[in-house]
Formats: sequence, structure tokens, C-alpha cells
Amino acid sequence: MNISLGPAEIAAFWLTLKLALSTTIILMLICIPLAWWLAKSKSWFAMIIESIVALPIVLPPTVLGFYLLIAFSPQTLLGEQYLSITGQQLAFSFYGILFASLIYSLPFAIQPLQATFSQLDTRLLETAQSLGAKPFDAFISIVLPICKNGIISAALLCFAHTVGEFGVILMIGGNIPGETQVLSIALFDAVESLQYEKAHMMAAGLLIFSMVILIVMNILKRGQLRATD
Amino acid sequence: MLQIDCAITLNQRHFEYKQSLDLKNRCIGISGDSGCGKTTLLRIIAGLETRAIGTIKLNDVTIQDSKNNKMQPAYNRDIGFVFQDTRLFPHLNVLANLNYALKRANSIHFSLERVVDAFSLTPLLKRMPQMLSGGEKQRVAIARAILSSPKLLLMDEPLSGLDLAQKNDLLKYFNQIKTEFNLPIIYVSHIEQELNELSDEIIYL
Repeated sequence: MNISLGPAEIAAFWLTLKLALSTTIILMLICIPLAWWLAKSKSWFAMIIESIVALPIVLPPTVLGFYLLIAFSPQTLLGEQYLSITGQQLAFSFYGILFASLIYSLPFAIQPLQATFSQLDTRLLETAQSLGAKPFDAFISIVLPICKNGIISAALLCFAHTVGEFGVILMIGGNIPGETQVLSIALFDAVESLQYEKAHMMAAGLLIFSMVILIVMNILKRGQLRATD
Repeated sequence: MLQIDCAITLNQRHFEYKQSLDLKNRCIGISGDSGCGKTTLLRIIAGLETRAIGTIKLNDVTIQDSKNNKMQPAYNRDIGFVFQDTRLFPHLNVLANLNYALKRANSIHFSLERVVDAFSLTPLLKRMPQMLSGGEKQRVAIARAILSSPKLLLMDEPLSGLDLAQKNDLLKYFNQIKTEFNLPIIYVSHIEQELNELSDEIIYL
């Protein structure tokens, strides 16, 4: 019985890694300042933004995928602009699934970050200011190091969630090997074509990966609780 | 000289402050009942209570003038603050806590070695704040505030929560701040004995 993975599955592995890493890095850059603002703001506007950001958690991936597919079509401003700049459609491309992934994983990055920032004793920022630190300096030198474990946890959750995405990727990217076929779709493809050995390898790999991520997150969570205590 | 003419309403309570304090190398004690606004006064002077309306002048320089929309931020006032609860940065060891202030000081008046010696901090430098006693934490907090080279040092009940032995130990260091560092201090406490021992003048709110 030959159960080694073929080039398509290996390409799917690397594509998944590229997608998850890109999504995580971009989302961390966007979500750290956004989550800080949401954690500290008491305005109605912040509450509305918080609800919008959380929408992908309750929305079926197919609904999100459907609307993104419409938004990406060359008849819309976004799709038209993308087509005129790059010469290709946003739908059924890597950047299309990256965009969808950013939206779909947004709450999984924002919510743990917001929870971490809410636990931080903001009196430490006052102290930093009284010692001459400007607000941005205080954020970099006090908030980020104290919330380090929470930030790593959010990044891991975001990464793991992106690795496990299926519905929205299938809707936006289809199943194009090397371009949009990520591991979860390659697994689906293997099951559909009755290649159960390959399916087993990919499914077991994803299962072990998810378990490891959850264990690491729990370790970090305990460390964060000690740091903010 | 510190001139303050400010008012603030917090939790439906109104506080008004009109004081002119001659600070030249002196320690001014501020006394008053609990809730009379002693800490609020210090926070307004330090620029941490931005809702206060009025004017504040420190050594003839206007650091706050609400009518003209002038509000010098806390990080730019050169006013040190020693908090009741020390507020050492938990992710930094003692040395890094001290260096944090030193690196951000607008001008360096006191060297790290001098302050570390004055407060007998050498054996504590590598320790994390969580490993210090209450008195040791407060010593580090005062040293850190001095290292920010302030023009004025505000101290908000720094001895509260400490046992008698730790209090006596710290009082020794407070006298050193006055004699060795020549820093004007505003010292808030509700304990008369403490104020009598440390202050050149006591103001009752």
C-alpha cells in the first residue's frame, strides 16, 4: 500500500502554510491596534465595530463566501480595480482566498487580543507617562511585553483557524491545485476520489497540528494570567 | 513655585484647588480626610487627570491653561510621581525599571550609580518586582521616580500598607531625598506623625 503524499498534496501543504502565515501576519498588524482601541473605548461606535468584526463567527462560511464572490466580480469597484491593476480576477486566485481568509479569521484574532488587553492594568501606562514615556512608547514598552503571551495565543489561534478553513475558501477559490487548493480542500478532494490513505494522512496531520496548537495556547494562557495578576 | 487654580468634578463630587506653594527644596505635606481630594490634586498637578479645568504654573512656566487650550501632557511635565501601590513594571527587573526612567528623562540630573547607592538597591538589581517586599518595592519606585530627573516629586501615601519596621526604614530614605537630591516634594498622607516628621509645611485640604 503506497500512502505517500503526491505533488498536489505537498503543494497544498505549502499553499496552506503560505496562506496561514500571510493571514496571521497581516491580521496581527491590523488587529493589535484595533483590539487595543476596542478594549479601551466605551463609545457606541466601538460597540458597533465590535459586533461587525464578530460577524464571521456566526455567519455560515457560504454566506460570507457568496457575498465576497459578488464583491470580487469585475462588475464591482473592488473587482474592477483589481482586474485593471493586476490583469487577473480576484476570485479563484491566491489573493482572493487571502482576502477572504483575512475577513473570516478576523474575530479569531481580535477577540483574544481584546480579552488580553482588557485584563491589563492601565495604571501602568499612567506610570510610564509620569516617567516620560509618550503613549506609543508606553504601548510598545509596557503593553506589548506584558501581553506577549496573549498576543502569541491570538496569532496561533488565527493561524490554526486559517489552516482549518474550508467553506469560504471553496466558495472563493474553488479547487485549483497550486493556486487555491489548500490542505482542507485537498483532503475533501482525496475523500471524493476515494483515496482514503491520502485522506487519512492529511486528516491525521491536521488533527495532531490542532491538538498541539491548543496545548501551546493553554500553556500561554496560564503564563498570561500570571503576568497580568 | 507651584501655582494651581483648578477645579474638577469626579463622580458627582466637585473639587476646587487654589494654592500657591513655595517649593524651593522643600517638602510640602498635604493632609486631609479620606476622600477630600488629596490624590486628585496630585494627579492634576502631574497631568494624569486631564478633566481638570484651570491653570497650573510650575516655576513660572504654564503647564496647563484650559482657557487657552494648553495642556502639557504628563510625559512632558518633568514631574515625578510615587504611587501608593508602587506600580513597578512587572515584566522588568529592578535594574530595567530604573533604566526605564533614566532613558526617558529629558535631562539627567542624577546618575544610576548614585541613586542605586542612595537607596541601597545593589543587591536587588537583578530581582523581579514580584520577589520584593513592600518596603523594597517602594524604595525602587522612589528611586525610579528620581531617575526621571523631575523638577518636582509627588508622593501619594507611599508608606501606607507597610509594617512599622518597613515604614521606619523608608523614612530614613525620605530624609535622604531632601538632603542629597534637593528635590522639591509634595507629600500626601492622612497620618499626622508622618507629615510632621517629613514636611517643612503642612497644608490641610
